[in-house]
Amino acid sequence: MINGNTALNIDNIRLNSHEDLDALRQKIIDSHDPDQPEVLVCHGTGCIANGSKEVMAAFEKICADSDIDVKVMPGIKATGCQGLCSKGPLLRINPQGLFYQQVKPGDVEEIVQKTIIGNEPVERLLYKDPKTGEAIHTEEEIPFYNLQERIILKNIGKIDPTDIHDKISVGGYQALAKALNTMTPEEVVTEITNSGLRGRGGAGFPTGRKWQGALKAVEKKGGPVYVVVNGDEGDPGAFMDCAIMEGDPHAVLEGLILGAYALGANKGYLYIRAEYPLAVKHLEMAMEQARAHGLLGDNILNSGFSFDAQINRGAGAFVCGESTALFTSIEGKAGTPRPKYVRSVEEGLWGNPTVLNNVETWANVPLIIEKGADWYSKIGVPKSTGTKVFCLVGKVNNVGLVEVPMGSPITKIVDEIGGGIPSGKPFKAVQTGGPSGGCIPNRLKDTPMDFDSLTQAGAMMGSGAMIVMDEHDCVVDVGRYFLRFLEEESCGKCIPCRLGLTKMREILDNFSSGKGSEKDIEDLTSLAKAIQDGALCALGTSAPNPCLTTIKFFKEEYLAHVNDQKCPAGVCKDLITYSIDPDACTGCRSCARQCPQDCISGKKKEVHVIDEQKCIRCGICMDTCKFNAVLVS
Amino acid sequence: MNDIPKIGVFLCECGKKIKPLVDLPGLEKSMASESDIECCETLPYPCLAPGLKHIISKVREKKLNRLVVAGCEGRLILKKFETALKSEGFEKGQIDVINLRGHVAAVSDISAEKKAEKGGKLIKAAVAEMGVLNPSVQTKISIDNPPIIVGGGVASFAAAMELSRHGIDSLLSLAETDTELILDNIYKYYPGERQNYGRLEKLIKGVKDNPQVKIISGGSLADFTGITGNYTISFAVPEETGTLKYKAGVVIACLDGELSPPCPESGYDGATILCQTDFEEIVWTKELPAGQTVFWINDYETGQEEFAHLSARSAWIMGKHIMQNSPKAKAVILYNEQMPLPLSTFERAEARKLGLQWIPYDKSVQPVLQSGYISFGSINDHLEHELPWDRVVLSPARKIDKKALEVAKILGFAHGENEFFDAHHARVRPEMVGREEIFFAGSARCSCDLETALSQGKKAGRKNAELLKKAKDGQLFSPRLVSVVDPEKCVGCGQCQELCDCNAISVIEGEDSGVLPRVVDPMVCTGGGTCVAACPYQALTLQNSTTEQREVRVVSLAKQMDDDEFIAFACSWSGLPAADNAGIRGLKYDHKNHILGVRCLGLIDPSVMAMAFLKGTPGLLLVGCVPEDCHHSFGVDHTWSRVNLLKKLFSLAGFNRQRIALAHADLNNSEEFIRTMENFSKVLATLGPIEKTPENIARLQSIYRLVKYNSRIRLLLSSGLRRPWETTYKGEQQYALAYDRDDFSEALKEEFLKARLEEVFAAEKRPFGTAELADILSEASVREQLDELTAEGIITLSYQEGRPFYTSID
Amino acid sequence: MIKFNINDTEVEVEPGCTVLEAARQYGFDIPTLCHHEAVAPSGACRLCMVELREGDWSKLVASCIYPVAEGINIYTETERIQNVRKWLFEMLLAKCPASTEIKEMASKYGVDSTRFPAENPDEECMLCGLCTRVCEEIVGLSAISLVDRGVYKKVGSPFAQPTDVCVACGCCVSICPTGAMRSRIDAVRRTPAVTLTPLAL
Repeated sequence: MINGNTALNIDNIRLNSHEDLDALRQKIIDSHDPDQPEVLVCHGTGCIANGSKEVMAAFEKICADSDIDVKVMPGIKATGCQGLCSKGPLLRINPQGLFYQQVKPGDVEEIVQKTIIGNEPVERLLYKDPKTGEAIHTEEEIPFYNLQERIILKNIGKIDPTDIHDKISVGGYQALAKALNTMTPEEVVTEITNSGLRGRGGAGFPTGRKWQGALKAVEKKGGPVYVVVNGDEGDPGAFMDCAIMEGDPHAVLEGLILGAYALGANKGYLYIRAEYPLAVKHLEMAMEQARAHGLLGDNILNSGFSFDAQINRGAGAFVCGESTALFTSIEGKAGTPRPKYVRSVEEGLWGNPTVLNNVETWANVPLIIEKGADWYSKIGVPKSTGTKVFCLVGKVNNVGLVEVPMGSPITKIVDEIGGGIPSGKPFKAVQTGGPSGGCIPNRLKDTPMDFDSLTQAGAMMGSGAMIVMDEHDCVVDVGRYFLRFLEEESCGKCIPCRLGLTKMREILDNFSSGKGSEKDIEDLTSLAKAIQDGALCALGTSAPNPCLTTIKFFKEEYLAHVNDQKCPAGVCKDLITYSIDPDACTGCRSCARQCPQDCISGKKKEVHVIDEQKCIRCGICMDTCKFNAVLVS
Repeated sequence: MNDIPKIGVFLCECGKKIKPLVDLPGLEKSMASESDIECCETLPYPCLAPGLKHIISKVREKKLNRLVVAGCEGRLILKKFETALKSEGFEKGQIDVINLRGHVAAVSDISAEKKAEKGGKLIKAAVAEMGVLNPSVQTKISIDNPPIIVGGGVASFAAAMELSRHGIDSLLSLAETDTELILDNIYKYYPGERQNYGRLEKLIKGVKDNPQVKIISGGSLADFTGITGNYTISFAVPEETGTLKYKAGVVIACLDGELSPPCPESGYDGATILCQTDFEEIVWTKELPAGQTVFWINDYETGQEEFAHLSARSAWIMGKHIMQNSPKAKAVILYNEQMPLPLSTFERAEARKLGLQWIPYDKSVQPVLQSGYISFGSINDHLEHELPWDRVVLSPARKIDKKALEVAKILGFAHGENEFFDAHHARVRPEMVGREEIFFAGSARCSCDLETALSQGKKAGRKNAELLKKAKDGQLFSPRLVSVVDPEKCVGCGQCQELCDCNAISVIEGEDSGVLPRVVDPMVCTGGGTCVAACPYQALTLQNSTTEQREVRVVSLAKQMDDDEFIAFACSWSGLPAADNAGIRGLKYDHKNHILGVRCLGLIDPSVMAMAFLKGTPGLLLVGCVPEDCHHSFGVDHTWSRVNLLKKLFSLAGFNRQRIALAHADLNNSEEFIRTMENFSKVLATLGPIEKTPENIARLQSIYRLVKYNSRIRLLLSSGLRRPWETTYKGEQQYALAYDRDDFSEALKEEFLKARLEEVFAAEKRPFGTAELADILSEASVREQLDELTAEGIITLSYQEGRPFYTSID
Repeated sequence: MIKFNINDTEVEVEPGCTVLEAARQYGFDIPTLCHHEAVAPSGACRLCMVELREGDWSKLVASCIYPVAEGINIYTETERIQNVRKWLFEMLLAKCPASTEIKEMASKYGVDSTRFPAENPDEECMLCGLCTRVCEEIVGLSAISLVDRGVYKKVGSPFAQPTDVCVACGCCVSICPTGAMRSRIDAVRRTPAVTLTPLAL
């Protein structure tokens, strides 16, 4: 990798004071020529899947092979997720700040010649405004980005997450140095309390109060206190923690160290799901580099404060994101929740006071310490301060990572930043908070996205997944999907969750095959209430939410299933039939060719017919037809 | 606190499980009026926090030091009481739980008052036992001597290294100390492990250079005595006279199993049909073979299928090696389809890439070796195929070698012929769990690969380090329920050592040479107690669960019983859980039996059985494990012999032999258990009670006296404690039947007569003539016995009118 | 001593007790399946849910693990509780149709039938985990444990093979509230039950 910093030979220098840190930062900044081109290749999951690694390799090869002037020889960096995942692989070229989308390895030669050497944009790779079709040059001009307020994601996509110097150059570890030099642990806690920061993991418990609780517990019973990062992000559709850990691991680490300082912890754990190998790798590298620089380990920045952390990999159980299950898992036992009538700040890991916060929460901490609680608490709304990173997925044009101030209305996120629903269809509902959250219908689209408003609407913030649905999404099917997910992920300890979710899903199965009755809807609600009341941990108590909110907001759709045996969205296979609109069919035979059952007949250029008896309702014909001639009813 | 017993009794209502079924107020009242019961109360749930807190407050108030709780299954709930009352100074044995719910309330349809009566009998018996309990003092175990590693297996080095890592000095006995020679020979035990030799060499050198490891070389293990913390280990050194003796605190045995070429019938010729160990030597030290090598994993055919995966791993490593390093070599591995392929996904891919074939063959068609070809049944097309070979490599035969066997024998590991040690040794008995014992590592335990052997060694090292640390911190205590030897009474007959199934008993040298008393290692004793019941001189005691305690309990119970009631002993592994489970399921059976739980039937001294009859039980049933399943190895077998003794005596005394019976139960088969009880009830119903005539009482008294005090009979009994089919028993037994028929029965006859005579003399202190005595006892002649009693100084002989008269002394 | 109310009756217990223990002490009836006095409570079966009320606010807690606190108001028979219980029993009846113990208990609380179809007519185990807890806590062995998770959860020994670790003490059979362990222990203990020798008379 061609990297300006390696030439400096300042690796592995232990920093012993705030001054050392500033001096290093200055040295890194000075060594970097602001006019030197820099290519930032997005290495978020989506972009990697679309081939960003190959793009990166092409850059390195072409730059090495071609005869470029030393002055314009670009630095090439792999960065974390740049956000607009649906348009990947993404590329950012400095100093111009050009934003390229959907770059293929074959485009690289042209980029090097035109942009790097010739200093002019490659028009066809620029982002086009979907409405006007006009090309937009820089990220800052794209509505998807400029409508956001990126403070957590600020550095992600701009720095090399595997290089601590990149992080230091943008102000990394300044908050830590500040706290160690000028603040007492109590002041750190007070600052966090005053900022109004609430846990980003889902429930939104005030972080400052949690920390105070732990301090009180220590006072009461003594013993060690632990700080833990919950990086076991498992909600379907959520990947912000992944993006933060992969793209800016030092932010999490710095937050954790600050928390440890505030709480007097000497040992921390980062519990990361094993399905995030890159996050694990980047955090491991970050920890190693931080240790070498005296920012982690014994006597941090010569302050006398020592703290070290280790990574524990979760083995893929969703329930291990639940605090007590996470603790039992770290303790080396099977990850099952335990009753939580004594809070984990009092009895957490090995029965000791433990502060467990989500990745995003920890990443907020350095910002608050650096810029102050006042600054922070002015962002967002009074009871939910700061920003929140959402994963915008589903039926939306701009799929990706979105960071907005707390309290931004749904419509701003979905319609403005997200660019609306593909093909201009109306938006039906948005599922927030993953399997524990709920569906918010179109008519509530002005609901502000903050903890309390969402809870009021029957949904929850959760970790921040937003799954956008249009009229072709069936709410019964959505309910079944989440229940099936939780059924697999339930630890199986308590009966309401282990048996109840299956029973709920079976009732929904009946609905989707037209076997339900109105009484079943009542039973379902009653059973859901029993599960909410009865289950042992939050996975179970919140599991009925998606189903309950859909019943609340889309009861007519349920009734259509049970009374009319119809699926209005055209999803539930047993309740739908496919037919061909004779007026629209051109007889192109493409549907007949694709049909796995060979049940579409008709000669070329004549109207086709679907044999309903043989049709398995796979929907391939509908997807295939270019003339919208396949109808579903 | 234990000077004078102060016993509290707590009755449990257990919700609706006891309260409505048993007249608890009545029971409480009658118990409270007993003089040896300090207080009696009924609680809703004594075992739940409010109940426990109440009990603790009562204990403090009344200064109680013994408790009897009448509630549910002691097997489950006792621990809770013990934990809760630990802070009040209660130790194991000082709390007893009567299963009022399972043995009384749930199992019969008698009235609540009757049930209270039955419960009261059981409680009073338990209280009586508590009254004579003499709680043992908790003893700390100190280990001041270093650990010693014997056996010379390769795991020794890992064990020594691990001990040193924990900062512990150790003694290491090695037959061979030259690193190169050790490495040169490793392949004989662990073929196909060359890739690990670098690591192994480093380990061996590390141990040899380690100042904390003292290496003993040259001698072979000759003797092993003493107990945990204080072992004496002797090595015979051929060049020198005498032996080298070392003191050791703990012992780690590291023994390697032997690999040998398969038998000649398999085709082995050492040249083209080789064993894996031969092949390894050729490949790595001589040359890489050209042509096709067929590795036939023939462990299934040689009856060692459990080791097929080890052979397969070795074959894989060797096959891979030759194919990677010689273009002319080709390897094929032929294996029985029953063996799961011991390869990772990666290794499977590697094998495919190399072209190394793994061919499974039909398990029902054994491959046949012929000149140049080996034929096998293919599982793919069900045809016999032929595989050409230039050489065939067979799996080695695995066993324990003689040297290892000898060392193990000296250390006292029991084992069968040609079996590995794990079958016996690693089967941790319940009482041994978490207990410290001799540690064992290496492939003689069960054939394994080098990695496993070393990790076993490491684990043994670590466990011992933990043990030593615990001892050093003063945290190592001897368990409560162990046998102890009274050196005053021990004559060193060695019967107990013969019988002990846990190798806990060994010799210590007596004060004056000649007598070698025995000593029990409390860290190894499992508390099965058959040694105690077997000791001819009653020199052994099972702490906190003595024969005296049991005698007192049966006396108390028998005295309270009606004529048609009887006592049943049930062992805590079979009979008792079967009874408990019958109670849980509410299965009904006769209430006339009273079940007393014991840890193992083997700990019941024949004197306890005799005492039960003497005090009035018409019958005695002993329900234990199925012999092969006895948790204390032979406890139930030994009980058989003791029951048999009673039966013989019953014959001599003219009682029905069926009054005492042994039965076997399975914990999971309560119906069977109930059938046993009901059947025995029926037997007793036809026999009726033993009439309490003076003659009968005198006879029962004689039986008791004989089984308890007659050392000759007790010695004969203990040396006959075995069954003919016990192949694992250490002693000689081919004469068992003859011995039982002639010697033992004859001796019994003599001694019984003597005991009856003693009874007569004890009853009346006047001179008896020979004819009169013969008449009283209805025997033809009692001369011989009278002479013996005179010689023993029990009676005196005087003459009146020239005729001999005998009178009791004292 | 801590004073609080159960069903509007004042009760008094020492601190550190659970609500269930207090209720049992005072004779209030609370059903349980996964609770046994001998082992630590786990709160798995949720049958022992009670309602904790404070003014308008209320929540359900598992009484077997909820510690008593001064002045709390506990109710053992409210609509919410009955709803939870009703569904639990209906689900259990479908899950463990072979267990007479569950049938009896359900019937006692007014649930005699279930809207759900029976899954496996021979099933008795409801995975309360008592067997594994007694093995770990009382016997000290952990020869059996709860294997897998969620709907696939079951009780078993490692690799579903008979294990040497099991000493066949039978505590799991005795503690099992549904009788399910009777048919499972032979798959765990090393020596299967042999035909018993007849009474040696």
